[in-house]
Amino acid sequence: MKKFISLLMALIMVFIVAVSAHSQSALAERVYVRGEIREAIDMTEDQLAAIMNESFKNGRNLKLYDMPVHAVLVPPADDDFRLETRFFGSLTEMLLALDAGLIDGACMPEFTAKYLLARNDDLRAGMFEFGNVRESYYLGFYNNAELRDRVNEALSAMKADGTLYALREEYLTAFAADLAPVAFETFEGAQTIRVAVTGDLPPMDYVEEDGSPAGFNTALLSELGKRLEVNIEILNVESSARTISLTTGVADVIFWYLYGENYVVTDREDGIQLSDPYYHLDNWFYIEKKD
Amino acid sequence: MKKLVFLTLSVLIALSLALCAFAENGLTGEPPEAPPPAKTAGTLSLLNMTEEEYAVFVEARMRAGDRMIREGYAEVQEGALNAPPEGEPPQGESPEGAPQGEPPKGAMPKGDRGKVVYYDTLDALLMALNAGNIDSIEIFQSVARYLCATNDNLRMGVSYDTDGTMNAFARLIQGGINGNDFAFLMLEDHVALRDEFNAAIADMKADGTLDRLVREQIDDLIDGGEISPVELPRFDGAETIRVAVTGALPPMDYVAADGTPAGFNTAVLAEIGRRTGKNIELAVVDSLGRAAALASGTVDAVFWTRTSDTAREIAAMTEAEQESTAAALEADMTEEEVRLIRSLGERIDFAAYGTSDMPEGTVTTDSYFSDVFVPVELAVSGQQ
Repeated sequence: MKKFISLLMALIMVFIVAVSAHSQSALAERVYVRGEIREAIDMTEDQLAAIMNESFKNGRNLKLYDMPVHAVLVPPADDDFRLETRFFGSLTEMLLALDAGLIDGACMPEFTAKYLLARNDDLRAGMFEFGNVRESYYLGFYNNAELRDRVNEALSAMKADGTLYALREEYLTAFAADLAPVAFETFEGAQTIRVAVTGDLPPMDYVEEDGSPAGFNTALLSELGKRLEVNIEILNVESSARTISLTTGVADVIFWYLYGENYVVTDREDGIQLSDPYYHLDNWFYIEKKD
Repeated sequence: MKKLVFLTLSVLIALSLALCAFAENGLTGEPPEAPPPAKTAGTLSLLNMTEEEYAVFVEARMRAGDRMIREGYAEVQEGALNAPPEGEPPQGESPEGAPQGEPPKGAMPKGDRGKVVYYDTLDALLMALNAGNIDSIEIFQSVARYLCATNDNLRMGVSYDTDGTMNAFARLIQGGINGNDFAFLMLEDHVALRDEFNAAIADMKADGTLDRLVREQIDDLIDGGEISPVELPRFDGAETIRVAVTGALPPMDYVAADGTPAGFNTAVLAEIGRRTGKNIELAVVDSLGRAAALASGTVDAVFWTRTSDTAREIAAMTEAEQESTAAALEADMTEEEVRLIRSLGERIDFAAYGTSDMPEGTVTTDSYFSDVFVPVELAVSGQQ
C-alpha cells in the first residue's frame, strides 16, 4: 500500500508539473526580428519596436506622432514573442539579411510581396496575422508648392477620367510578368522635373536591371509629364537618401507613403510639400524565408 | 488492488485532461472557439428600413467597421455585442510607413447578419430590449446618446465621430450607408412652401443657427441639461403650418409630457417659422400615421428621417458625371475598399435610397440634420 501511495504521489506530481509546464510555455519568449526599409528619421529601431511591443502586450491604443495608433499584434496562438526591428537602406539589403537569417521577416506592401513571391521560390508570406492598414502614397516636393498644386490638378483630372485607376489596375493589381519600360514625351523648351526613383517597391517603385525605371510610378510620371507639358528625368536614388536628395535639390520630386491620411500635413514645417494621395494600400506583408 | 489502481489512474488522467483544458482556456482567459449566435436587433418602423436594407447595413458595418475604428471614425465599447470582430489592428505612423500584414483568418463571422424586428414606438423598443427579446436597438446616434445619458442600464455599442474630415471610403459609408439626413416631407402641391423652407434652412446653415440649435437642443441636453421649451412664433393673420410630431426620436422628435413644444426639430421649425413669417402648430401623431395625416391634410408637413443628400446628388447627375464621380472616388480608395463598396452597391440602389420610401405625391425639403445609426445595448452591471 505504501508503495502504491508513493507511486500515486509521484504520478500526481508529474501531472501537475506537466500541466503547469504547459501553461508556463505560453510565457516563454521568442524574438522575432522584422526588417523594414526606411530612412531613420524620427524614430530609432528600438523606439519603434518598444512601441509595437508595448501595444501588443497591453492591447492599448497609443499615441504616435499625436495620432491614435491602434496597434495590437496578433501573434500565433501558441506562442509569445517580442519584436525587434532592423532598418535597411534598400530592398536588396533587406532581402540579403533575410537570406542570411539576420531578420525573421521582411516588411513590405502587398504588391511588392506578391511581386517577390511570384519570382522567388524560397520565400513565403509570413505567419504573422496583422490587421490591414490604410497607407497612402504621395509625391513630395521641396519649397515648390506651385509645382505641387499643378500636380494636384493633374491628379484630380486623372482620377475623374479614370486614368489613375486604370494605371493602378495595370501595374499594381494585375501586373504582368514583365514590366514594360515606360516612354516619356519630351517638350521642346519646357522645364525638366527630376524625380527620384529607388526601385525598392516593385512593381510600384521599380528599376530594371539595366537601370531603366519602369512600373507604376514611372507610368504615373509619364502621364503627369504629358498633362503638365514638362520633361521628366528619372534619377536612381537609394531609399535611405531619398529625402536628402529632395532637400538638397538633387531631385525635384520624390515618392512617400504615410499612414493616417487624415493626419497628414501636406505643407510641412520642414519645407516639404505633399501632393494629394494617388494611391491607398490595405495590406503590408511579412515575407519570410522558407525553411 | 488492481481495481484501485485502475480507478486512480483513470481519475488522474481525467483530472489532467481537465486541467489541460482549463490551462488552455481558464488560465489564459480565452473563450473556446465558437461562432457567435445570430443577434436580433430592434428598430423603429418609422425608419422605413427594409429587411434587405438592414442585412446590407449589418454587412457593411461588419466589413467596414474595423477599418472605421482603426482610422478613428468610430469607437467601440469593450465587450459590445455589435463590435466588429477583433484581432485586426494595425499600426503606427512613421514618415515612411510601417509593418502590417494579412487579416487574421476567421476574423469575419460568416452569415451572421442577425435578424431585425420592427417596433412602432420607442417605448415598445426599449421594453423589448429590457425583456431580452432583442439583443440591441439600432437607432440614430443622437437618440442613442440621449437614451444612454438618461438610462443607466443602456450603453452604446459603437459610437461614430461625425465631425472630422473623412476619406472617400468613410464618406461613402457614413453618408451613403450608415447615415440618414433629416428633412420635412410635404405634399407635392405645397412645393412653394417647401421652397420657402429650403431658403430658411440654407440661411440657417450659413449663419450658424443650425449649429447653435444642435448644440443647445441636442449636445447640451445630452451632457446633462434640461429639455427647454421652445417658443413657437405667432404672427397675426399669417398662414399656420401644422407639423406632425411623434415623440419617437428624442431629443429631436420630442413630445413633452405636458404637451409643451420642445426638442430639436421643434426648435428648427420655430426658427423656420420666424424666418418665413408663418405660424407653426404641432400635432402629435402616431409614427405609423404620419403619411396618412399628411395625405389627408390633417398636417402640412412631417419630419422625415430618411432622406439622403448623397443619394440626391447622385440622382441629379448625368450618367457621365456619375461615372466620373465613381472613378474619382475609387481612385481615392484601396482595392479592398473598392471591392466592398462595389459589392454593397450591387445590393442597394444608392441613388434611390433617399426617395424609395417616400409616399406617392410628396416632396422633401433640403436636409437640416444628419445622423448615423448605432447599436444600443443593455449595459452589463459595472460597465457603462
